[in-house]
Amino acid sequence: MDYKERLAQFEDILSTKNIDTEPTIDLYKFRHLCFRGIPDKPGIRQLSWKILLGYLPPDKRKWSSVLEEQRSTYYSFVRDLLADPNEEELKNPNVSSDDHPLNSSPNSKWAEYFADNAILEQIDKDVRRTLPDLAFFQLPVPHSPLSPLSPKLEAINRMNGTRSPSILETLDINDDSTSISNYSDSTLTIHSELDAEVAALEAQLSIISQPSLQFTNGNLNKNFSCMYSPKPVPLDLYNNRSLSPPPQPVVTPIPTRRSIFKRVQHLNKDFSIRGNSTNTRSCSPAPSCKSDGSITRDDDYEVDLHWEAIERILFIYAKLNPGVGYVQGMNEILGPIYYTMANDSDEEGKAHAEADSFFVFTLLMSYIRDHFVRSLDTDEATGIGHTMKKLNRRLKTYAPDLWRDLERKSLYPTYYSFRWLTVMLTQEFALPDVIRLWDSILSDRDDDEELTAGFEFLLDFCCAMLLCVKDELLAGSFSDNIKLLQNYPIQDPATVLRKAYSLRELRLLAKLNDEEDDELDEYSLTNFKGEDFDYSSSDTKFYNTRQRTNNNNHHLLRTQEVKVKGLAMLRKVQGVVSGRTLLNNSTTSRSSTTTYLRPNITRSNILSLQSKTTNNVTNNTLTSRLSLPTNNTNNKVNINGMGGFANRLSNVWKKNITT
Amino acid sequence: MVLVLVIGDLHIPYRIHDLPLKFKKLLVPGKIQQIICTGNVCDKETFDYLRTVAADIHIVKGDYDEFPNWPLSKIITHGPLRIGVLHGHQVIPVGDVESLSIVARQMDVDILLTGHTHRFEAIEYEGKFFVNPGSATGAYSGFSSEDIKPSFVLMDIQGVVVVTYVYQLVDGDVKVDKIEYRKNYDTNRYRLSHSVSYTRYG
Repeated sequence: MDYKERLAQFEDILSTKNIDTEPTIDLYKFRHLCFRGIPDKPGIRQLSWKILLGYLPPDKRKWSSVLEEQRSTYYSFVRDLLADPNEEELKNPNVSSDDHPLNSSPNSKWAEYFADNAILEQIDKDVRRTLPDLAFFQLPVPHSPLSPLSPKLEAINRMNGTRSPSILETLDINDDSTSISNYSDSTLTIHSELDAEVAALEAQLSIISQPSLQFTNGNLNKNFSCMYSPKPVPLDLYNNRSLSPPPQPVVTPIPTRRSIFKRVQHLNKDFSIRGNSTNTRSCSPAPSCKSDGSITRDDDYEVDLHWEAIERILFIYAKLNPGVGYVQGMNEILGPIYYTMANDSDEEGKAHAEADSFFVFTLLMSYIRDHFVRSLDTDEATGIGHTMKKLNRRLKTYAPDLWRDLERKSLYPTYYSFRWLTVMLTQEFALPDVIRLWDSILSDRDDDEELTAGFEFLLDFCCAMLLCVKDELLAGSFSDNIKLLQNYPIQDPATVLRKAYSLRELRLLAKLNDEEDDELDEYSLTNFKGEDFDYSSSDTKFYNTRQRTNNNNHHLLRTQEVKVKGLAMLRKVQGVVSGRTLLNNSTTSRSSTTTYLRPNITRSNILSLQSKTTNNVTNNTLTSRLSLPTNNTNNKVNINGMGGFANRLSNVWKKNITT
Repeated sequence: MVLVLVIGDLHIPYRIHDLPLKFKKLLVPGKIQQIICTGNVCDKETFDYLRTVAADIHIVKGDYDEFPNWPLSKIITHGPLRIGVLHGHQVIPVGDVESLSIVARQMDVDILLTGHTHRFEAIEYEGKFFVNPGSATGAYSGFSSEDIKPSFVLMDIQGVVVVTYVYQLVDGDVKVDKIEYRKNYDTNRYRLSHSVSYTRYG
């Protein structure tokens, strides 16, 4: 299906317009759709990733309540976990606590503070260097009144009109930095109207300042120039507002959001933009207690940069998950997630990008968390060691000659695949490619497998990466190979992706044969004749070689068995495809076969489904969907999708069994 | 949020051989960002030990110190706060708050740290804060007849607010007290400049 059709399907699935008729998204169908890539239209990918990882439930009606709840949870984390112990004491001077800075007992706030500082320093170092080639992370987070993490807006009573600031006014600054921020914020809010008059005025004015540039005391030139840089502010939000009252923040800003940055200031005193600003702001009062007990400080008005938001997310994650803490590499995983969320077209999505990224990141981490736990590195069943061994076994299955060559050279998977697997390929390809790859990786999850099964497609893709440079690998020496694999030469993942798709289908085919290729015994492979195989050609060859790799003793028996099973499967497949029978879990030998053979998804099917209004989409899917005149196995040549898969499967078996 | 350790009058090795063990356990490196020493450490080894607790150390010369090149007084700035340090043997009568206040006015500091009396004191007088950390070792002093309690001070400086934690060794146990000091700006001056800006903007 071409791009427009897929786009239309996505929009249809994700839209909330038909929320009464089709409130629930069919996750299986959705995942299959995402597997081929999510269209780049703004707004779609963000929603899709949220659904794929389970942040948003399939039931669309619950979306707004879930989002609200989760976001407020995140903001309460920010409020509570980021507080400094000394500020708490400032707030309650009458409450005496026995805590003091040198306290080393475990329940002391101060002791916790110092322990956290160590983590924070590590996070800070990594986050500053996240994706350095992309300017995005060094840019400020756009201001939004919806987000409690945006800087405060003071009540603006000065800039009701639309006049340009005179030079005198810009120069006439108090030592109080708040006045400058007031000024800029006022210009921002007033000028973001949609009225025609204001638009006309806007043309005259040149003070549409970019809303979230930071202002420092000493840096006058910067202030001046930034006030004259025209940059449109997202206008959707301010549609209904009139000119005079400025939009007050819908939520109260969280005062402690920047506290962690102060803690690690000392690391970067001499360089970076933050270092400069704090030095010049020498005279203004830092946290001071107001009479009502609220603490204000300078950096309430300061805007966050994107990498600072990432630092916050990682710090909160580390605090909430002391078992895994922070490990270098998590920032790389969070990078694409946050980038996607922050570039949402939906105003609300953009404002709450940080909160949503936090939860999406947490959900993703729950699958790959074991890769980051050092003690599980050598564990048999889980951890990164296990995953790499799995990759190695898979490589052995698909390309035994390459595998043998690498083993001979002692090129163990730890040397190249560690980075591929732990940070999920973010370091190998450019960010847009990584995001496209993640569409496929995140959507390839079987409901039947356990949570710790990890991402199978990721392993397929890694194998494909190896296979695509197979010739160079075979020809080169150990050091050449290492160099090649650590700077992967193919920058365009499309070719690798296609190979990965074919590998995946092979694997699924093998699964249907009831053979777990990952757990092949060592000795069963010693009988292997050493053929090269060409997986781009027919499946028959694969099937034949599979037979040969079986254990010697049971060789014949197994082929018989498989034949019998295969015939039965073939009949079933034929029956299912032509709508005669219904697949139940009880009649198949493996429950997973149902997932593979279940919906016959072609374009016609989906469109016809949408025209229906049936509600029983659980057990009767097959009958309802297959009441259409579907393909006869021999006639339809639909290579793509699950329908095509079922066809090819039946073709394969027919060829092999009935001969 | 800067943690500053104020310590002095150790008199090692002449009057006493070492810091109390419990104090040593508290003073782990990594937590304290700066040390201000009021003098009379007396010894190179002791000075090196203090340097291991925090890298940033400011010290002034006391009357029994062995280093001739240390200054007699120092001024350290933390944001809007000016902190002055001197040993205190220069001020007569010893430990008198009014004489110290003269010194503070001369140095134009908000907080004055002195030693020499071997007695902990924290006084706010005429808007200025006078801290004497006492003797960290409890060394003998000629000025007081009673027993000297070992003590030192940890200041948590956040802008204009200083939260002072006093650690004293009382009957073999460490006792911690907390005192808060806030610098007052000259409010008249501040208000005036503010009104000027209002008239400009109409």
